[in-house]
Amino acid sequence: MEPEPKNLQSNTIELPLQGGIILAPGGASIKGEFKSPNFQVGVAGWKLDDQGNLEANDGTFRGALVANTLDIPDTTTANSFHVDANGNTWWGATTLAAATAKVLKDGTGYFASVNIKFGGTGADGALSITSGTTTINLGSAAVVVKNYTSISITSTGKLAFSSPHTNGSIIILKSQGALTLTSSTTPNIDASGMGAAGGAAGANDTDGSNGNNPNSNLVNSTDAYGRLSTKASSSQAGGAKGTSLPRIVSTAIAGKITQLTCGAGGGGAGGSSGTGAGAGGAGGNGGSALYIECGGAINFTSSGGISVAGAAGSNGTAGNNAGGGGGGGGGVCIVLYLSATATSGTVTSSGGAGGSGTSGSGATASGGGGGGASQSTDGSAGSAGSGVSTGGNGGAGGNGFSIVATNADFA
Amino acid sequence: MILTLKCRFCDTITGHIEVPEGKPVPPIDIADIRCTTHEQEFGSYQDMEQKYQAEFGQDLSQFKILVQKVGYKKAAFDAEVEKIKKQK
Repeated sequence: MEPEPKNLQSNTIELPLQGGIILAPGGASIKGEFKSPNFQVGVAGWKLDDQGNLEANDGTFRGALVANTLDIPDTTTANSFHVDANGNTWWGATTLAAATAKVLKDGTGYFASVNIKFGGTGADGALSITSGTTTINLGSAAVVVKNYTSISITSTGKLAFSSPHTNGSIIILKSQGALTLTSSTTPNIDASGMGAAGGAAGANDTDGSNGNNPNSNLVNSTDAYGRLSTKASSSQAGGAKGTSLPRIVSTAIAGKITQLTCGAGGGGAGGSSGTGAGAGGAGGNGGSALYIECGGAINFTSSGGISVAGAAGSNGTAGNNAGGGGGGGGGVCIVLYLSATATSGTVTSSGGAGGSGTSGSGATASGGGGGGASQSTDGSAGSAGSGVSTGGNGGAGGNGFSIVATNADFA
Repeated sequence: MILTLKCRFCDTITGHIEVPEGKPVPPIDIADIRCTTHEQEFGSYQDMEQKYQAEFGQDLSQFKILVQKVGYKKAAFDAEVEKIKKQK
């Protein structure tokens, strides 16, 4: 039996109480809008109009939802979430430009603050070195961060670095999981000489150059570098020492502050003068500031297993009564871990030795370059030349320091 | 994915970096890999770099050319450094 047609000219279609079906065998077009009796804009009910606009309350889509843009809760509320037609997303503002949290379609992220878990992201994978030396290029960067899932340097393996910043590179190694340093090669993490550059040696009858001041994450150092010694003269004085940096707090780790300062460069020695003159020795580089986070268990058994030592100054030219270069300041090494299997390993953070002055027959001898400072200790002044025949020794760099401790400060 | 670390002289495997599946490959920023045997025979890359800086200053652009020219071997590197010093 054919169902009785409903009057579509009226404002209301009434279906039987037990439910019913509206049949439109040839297809039906609606001009105007369909809506529920209780419809109120933004409040209740639903509406579908002939412009293709739908307003409803909750909805469930069992298949894909395709849209041009997305605005939650709307386009005018600041506390909101949006996706534009290009795939950019942002939070907390009505426009992409004004948002303080956004992820662009090219993968760039902007956030007012980010809470990154202790141990890092693991983005650089699991590092395992079992023999030989793997040298990471620091690319002259002031700060280099590596995020490993784990770090394992075992058997005879060694991790070294090259190409530090001229003011020293702060190296940050993060491990989400275990940190295993049991290699018999010492050091098995070698960041010595990766601090601030030593001063160049003076050639014959030429002054040496000052060492460089070190990079630090907290302190702007202006006085840590080892001073040059001048070309040989009647004074034959050595270069002055570098001065250690002020600490922001009384301990290296306090609350959320970790001070990381590279060792300063040692001063270059001037050249000797007159017949038989020769070049002085170059200053040694400072040691790196090395910070290691271990989000798992540390197994560190290598004596001298980590080095952030300053490099030694170079000797004066043999047979030319020239001064030696100053040693680089020692660096800083801080290792924080979640739990410990073993922590019997040790860290070397000594300042570099001064280069030796040499004896010879030049007219006047030059003094040694000054030693660079570390974060905590002054360098030593270079020695004056002795008489006319012996160049002065370079001053030693100041010793740095190290801490290997349970993390109690960082989430 | 596993990135194998191999000695530049003999291809001896000295370690590896294991990147979890689906994660992007990290930038490869390794300057040198040498096995224990060849480090004893040819010296360390770090020593060559620090010697170069002590002799010629901090600009390492010429160091990279020089170290490649001498086949990454310290004895040949030292000889070349002495030659350059005499020329200066």
